[in-house]
Amino acid sequence: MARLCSSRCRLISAAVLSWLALTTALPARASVDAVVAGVVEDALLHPLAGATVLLHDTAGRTVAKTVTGPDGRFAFPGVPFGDYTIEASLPGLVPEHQHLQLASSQVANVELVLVNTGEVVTIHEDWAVPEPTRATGSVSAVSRQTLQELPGGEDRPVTDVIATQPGFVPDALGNVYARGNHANIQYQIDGIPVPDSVGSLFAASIPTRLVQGLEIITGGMPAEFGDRLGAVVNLVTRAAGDQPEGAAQMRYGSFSTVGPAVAYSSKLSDHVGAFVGGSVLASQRALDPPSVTPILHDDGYVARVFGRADYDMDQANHYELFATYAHNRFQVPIDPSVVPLDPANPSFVRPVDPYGNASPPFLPHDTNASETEDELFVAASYLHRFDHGQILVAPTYKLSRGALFADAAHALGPMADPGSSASDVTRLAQHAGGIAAYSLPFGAHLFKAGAQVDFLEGTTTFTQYARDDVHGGIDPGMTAGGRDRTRALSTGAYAQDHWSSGGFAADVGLRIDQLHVSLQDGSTDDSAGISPRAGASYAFTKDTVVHAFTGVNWQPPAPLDAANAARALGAVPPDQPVMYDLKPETDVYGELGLATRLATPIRVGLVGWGRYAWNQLDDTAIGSTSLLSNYNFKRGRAGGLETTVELRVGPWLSSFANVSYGFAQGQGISSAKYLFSADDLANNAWQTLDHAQTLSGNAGVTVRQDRFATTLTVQYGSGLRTGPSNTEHVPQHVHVDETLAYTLETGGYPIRIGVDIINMFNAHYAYRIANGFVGSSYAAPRSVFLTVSLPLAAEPHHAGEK
Amino acid sequence: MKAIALVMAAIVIAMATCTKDDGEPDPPVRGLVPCHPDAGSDDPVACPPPADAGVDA
Repeated sequence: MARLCSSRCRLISAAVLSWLALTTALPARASVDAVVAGVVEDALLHPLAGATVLLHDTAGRTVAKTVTGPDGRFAFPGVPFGDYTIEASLPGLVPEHQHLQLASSQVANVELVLVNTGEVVTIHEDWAVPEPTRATGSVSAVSRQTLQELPGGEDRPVTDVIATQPGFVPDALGNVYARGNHANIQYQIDGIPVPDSVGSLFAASIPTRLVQGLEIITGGMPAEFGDRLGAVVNLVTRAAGDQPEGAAQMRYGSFSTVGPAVAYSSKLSDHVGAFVGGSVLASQRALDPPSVTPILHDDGYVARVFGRADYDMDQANHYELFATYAHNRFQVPIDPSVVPLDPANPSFVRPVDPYGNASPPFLPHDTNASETEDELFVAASYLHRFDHGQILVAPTYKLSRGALFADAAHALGPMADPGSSASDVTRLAQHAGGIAAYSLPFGAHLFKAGAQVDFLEGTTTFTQYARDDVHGGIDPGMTAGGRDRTRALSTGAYAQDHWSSGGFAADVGLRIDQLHVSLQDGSTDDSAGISPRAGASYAFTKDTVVHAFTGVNWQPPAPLDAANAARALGAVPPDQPVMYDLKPETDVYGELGLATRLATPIRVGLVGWGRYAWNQLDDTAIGSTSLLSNYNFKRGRAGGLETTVELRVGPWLSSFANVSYGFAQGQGISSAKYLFSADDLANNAWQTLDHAQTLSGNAGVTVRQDRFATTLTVQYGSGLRTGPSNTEHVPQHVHVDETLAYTLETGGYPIRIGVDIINMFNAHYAYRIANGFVGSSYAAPRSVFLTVSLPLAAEPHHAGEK
Repeated sequence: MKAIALVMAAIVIAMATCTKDDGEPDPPVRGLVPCHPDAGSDDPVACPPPADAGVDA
C-alpha cells in the first residue's frame, strides 16, 4: 500500500497548522477581488464532476466551497487578495491541494488532478515561494504574519511597513515616497478609497492590528484606481472568525514609551460578527525631532479606536460597517543646535550648514507649540453577489482636523529673532461621498466598472502674530486672523477588463475624473482628465512572467492644504485671500518587469519604470510638523530600477531583499508661488526633488523555531536631497532593527513576550536636513521596547491539529 | 536553538562594538559668525540692515 504521508510530511503539516494558528482572522471582502477558477481532473485528465472544492485562508478556515459541474469546472468569484490553499476531493481518490497567492483583479486558473489511492506515493507539502503573479503592474503583498513578525509588530505604523517594499523611500514623521512622488498614496480599506489630505496623517493613524493583509501597487494601476497614483495600498481588515479571539498587550520601552492595546473579535450570531480594538501610545519622542540628542520638547501620544461589524444576511448579501478614529497630540520639537542672536553684536549671524542651508530661526526653549490631530473614517458597504458578478455600494464619511498651536506668547519672546512671526492654524476637512463598483467575470474575462464621488467642505481658521521687536512678545497691533473656506467636488468613473488566456493576461481600461473647486470669494476652478491604461503579462512558464504597462495618470491636487500652509507660514497677509492656482498632474507612465522563480525556495524580480509629467505636483512640509501642502512644477520626470529577492526555506526561514534606484526631477515652480523665494521662482532648470533618494535598500530575515521567532531587518538609504537647490544629499545610513518573540504555552491561552531593538547599532542619521523652511528631522537612536500580550480567548483549534 | 543562540551572541557583540554614542549633541550647536558685508541680501550670512533702515525711505 502506498504511503500517503511520511513522518516528514506530518512534521511539516504540524508546522503548517502552527503557522496557521498564528494568523487567525478571516480575510475581509473587498471590491478589489480576484477570481479563482479551474478544473478538477482524473489521472487521464478527464474532467471529474461532483468533486468538492474548498478554498482555505491562511488560518485554515474554509472561505468558499463548491462542487464541480459536469465539465469538471468550478469558479470562486469575489475572493479578496491574499494567500490561500485550494483543495479538491472526491471519494475514492486522493485529494489534491495547491497554494495560491492572489493579487486583486487576478483571474487564477487552477488545475487539480485526483488520482487513485494506489497510484500515488508522495504528497509534497511545499514551502516554496509562490509563483510570480500574473499582474500587469508592480504588485507586492504583506501578510498578517509578516506584519506581526516585523520589528515593532502591530504597534508599527502601516507606513513603516510600506517603506520596506521596493520603490519606497522613508522620511521623517511617517512620510513615505513612492517612485519619486512626494505623497499621493491612495489608501483603500476593504476596497473603499479613503479620501485624504496630501499628508500622511491618516495613513500613520491606521492601526496595524486592524489589518489582515496589505497589497501595494507601485505602478501599472488598472483604471479602477484614481486620484492619488503615486502608489495604491489596499488594506483588508480583520473580521470575526468562527471562534472568539483577541489579545491585550502592554508595550514599554525607551523614551518612557507606554502603550496599552487591545483587540477582540467574535461572532455574535451565525450571521453577525464584530471586531473591535483600541490603543494608546505615549512617548517622550513623539515626532522625529531636529536632533538625535538632546531631544527638546517632543512629548506626545496617539490614541486609536476601531471597529468592524459584518452581517451576512445570506450567500448573496453582505453588509459591513467600518469605523476608525485617531486622536494624536504632539509637542512641536525645538532645534537645540540653533542659538539666539546677540543684540549686543548685531553683525554676528548664524552660519550656513555644510550643505549651504540657512539656519532656521531661533525658537525660545520655553515655547510650547503643539499639533493636535483628529481623524475619523466611517464606511458602510453593501455587497450583493449575482449568479455572475457582484456589486459593491459604499457611502463614506471622513473628518480630518489638524490644529497647529504656535504659542506665540513664548515663540515671539525677548530671545526670539527680530521680525519673527507665528500662526495658530486649524484645518478642518470633512469628506462625504461613496463608491459603486460592479464586477462581472465571464469566461476568461473579469470586467469592472464603477464610479466614485467625494465632496469636501474645508476650512482653515488662523490667527497670525508678529513680534514686538522693542519689548519682545506679541505686538497686539499686528495680530490678525481669519477663516478660509474651500469646497470641492471630485468625481470619477471607470471601465476596465482583465483578460487571461493561457499564459497571457491583459488589462485594458479607461477612467474619467473631474474636480470642481469653490473658494470663499465665489471663484471656482474646474479641471478634468481622461486616463487610458493598458498592460499585459506573459508567463513563459509558470515560474517566469514578464509584464509591460503604459497609461495616463491624472492626479488632482489637495485643494485645502495650500491655504493651510500659507496661513501657518504667514506667507499671505491675513486680509488677503490665498490664491488658488493648483493644477492637476497629468503623467504618461510606463514600466517593464520580469519575475522568475529560479528554484522553489527563491524568486527574483526586476522592474524598470519611467514617468513624464505635466504640472507635476510636489509637496512642502511646514516646519517640524506632519502638515504638507501641494504646489506644481511645470514639468516633471522620474525613472527607476527595482530588484527584489524572496527566499523561503521550510517553515523555519523566510527572507526578502530589495534594492531601488530612482531619480525624480521638476522644472519651474508654477503654483502656490507665495511659498517660495524669488530665487526659487527664477530657477527654470531641472532640479532634483527633495524627496528623491538615489539608492534605497531593504532586507529582512525571519527565523522560527517552535514557539520562538526572530526577525532582523536592514534598511539602507543613500540620503534625501538637501541644499538650497537640492544639489546635495544628507549622509547615507544603515538602520538595523531586530525583534525577538517567544510564545508561552499555557493550556491553549498563549502568552506572547517580545523584545524590539530599533536601530540596534545606534546609527545617528538625518532623514532630512534643513531645506528652505522645511525643518531637519533625525531618526531615533537605539531604542528598546518590551511587549507582553495576553490572550482574551483560547487559541483556535483547527481540524486535524493534535 | 544553537544557531539562534549564536546569532543572538553575534548581535550583542556587534551592538557593543558598532555603536556611535560619544555623548555630544548631535547635530552640534553652531555658534554665531561675523556677517559678510559684501553678501547679497538673499544670502543667509548677509549683514542685517541697520536698525533705522527704512525709516526715511
